[in-house]
Amino acid sequence: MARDEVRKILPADIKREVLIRDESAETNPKWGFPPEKRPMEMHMQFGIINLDKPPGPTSHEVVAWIKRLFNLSKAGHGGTLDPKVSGILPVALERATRVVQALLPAGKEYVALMHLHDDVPEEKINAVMREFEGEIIQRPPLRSAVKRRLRTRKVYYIDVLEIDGRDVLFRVGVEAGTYIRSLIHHLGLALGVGAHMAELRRTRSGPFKEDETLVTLHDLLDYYHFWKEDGVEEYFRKAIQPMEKAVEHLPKVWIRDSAVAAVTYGADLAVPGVVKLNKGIKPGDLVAVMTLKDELVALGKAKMSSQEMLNKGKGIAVDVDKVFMPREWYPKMW
Amino acid sequence: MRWRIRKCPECGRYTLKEVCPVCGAETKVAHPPKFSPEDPYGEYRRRLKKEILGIGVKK
Repeated sequence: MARDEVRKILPADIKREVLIRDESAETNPKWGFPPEKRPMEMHMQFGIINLDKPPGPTSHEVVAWIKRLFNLSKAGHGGTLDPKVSGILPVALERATRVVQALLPAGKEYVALMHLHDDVPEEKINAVMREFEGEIIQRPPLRSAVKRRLRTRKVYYIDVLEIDGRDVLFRVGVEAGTYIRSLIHHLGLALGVGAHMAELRRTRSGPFKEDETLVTLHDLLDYYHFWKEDGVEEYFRKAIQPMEKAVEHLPKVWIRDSAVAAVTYGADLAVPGVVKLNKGIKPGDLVAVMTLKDELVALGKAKMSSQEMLNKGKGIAVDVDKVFMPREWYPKMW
Repeated sequence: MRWRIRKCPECGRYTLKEVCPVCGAETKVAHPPKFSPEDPYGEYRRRLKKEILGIGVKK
């Protein structure tokens, strides 16, 4: 069993070392709004909900309801769940809407119920399911947004939880874009009897998990009422996560105060602005640009490796792509 | 539809059984309840929830 525990990890779980470039850099407490210091209205403007989607509506409908119920102008979800599927559907709000782009490529975990079309001995089920760990080949389904060409996807782990006759309950961790319905169909073919997906629930999307932050639509709406009508803010505040939560799994580059405003005005990040960074960044990687208060400034593409950012004296370190921080939070210092 | 995937509210274990095989607690359907944006009984639900959370009713 200990072996299984070790195997049960997604790439998002791998801890990243921090490399320090400038030991002495400090941040001015007067500037910026670290997540825990944002007034409720602002917290919402830069917030993301770890929503427990109910079975029934499409993911798009759920986002439309949230926009209407909370009077929002923008919102978006990180990774579509089919109508019948429940579970983790991160919904980013207003000025945080585009952080979902950090979640789309992140690993996902599901609990699935497979129904076999004939009896199969348990040992055979376990053996065949173990074989599906690793690289598998899939073709996107007919009703799909992506081009329907064969592609490989990684199955990080499959844990059979229970077998009850022809019903097999299992937990599976996969690379983004893996179709569980199709995985189950192929398991059925491999077992020789055929199978279909009877039920599915997503239990993880990158940094979003089934923990105390996961909230249902009912609770969310009630907590909103408690804030708006009863003046009790704490429940709604806890129901919304800061946008920083959505980049927890990404490699990060922390920058000095004097570089923040320039980045919010669209400048790419130059090496001298870097104070510390995660190890293992490669050119082309999606990285989160952070302040020394751990506020998200922007998302961008690394132009250098971690080692180069650490050793070089000049040059562009990150090609800034999406800016989230408002320009007024840090003063212009160039 | 009758859902089969259940979850233990105590230890978080997923199961098909009514009783958690790990800690023995009674399990619940893993999926959250249906939501309607019209939410016809929201007021009643919130009245009960306020009592549980200890939120004073504004007069």
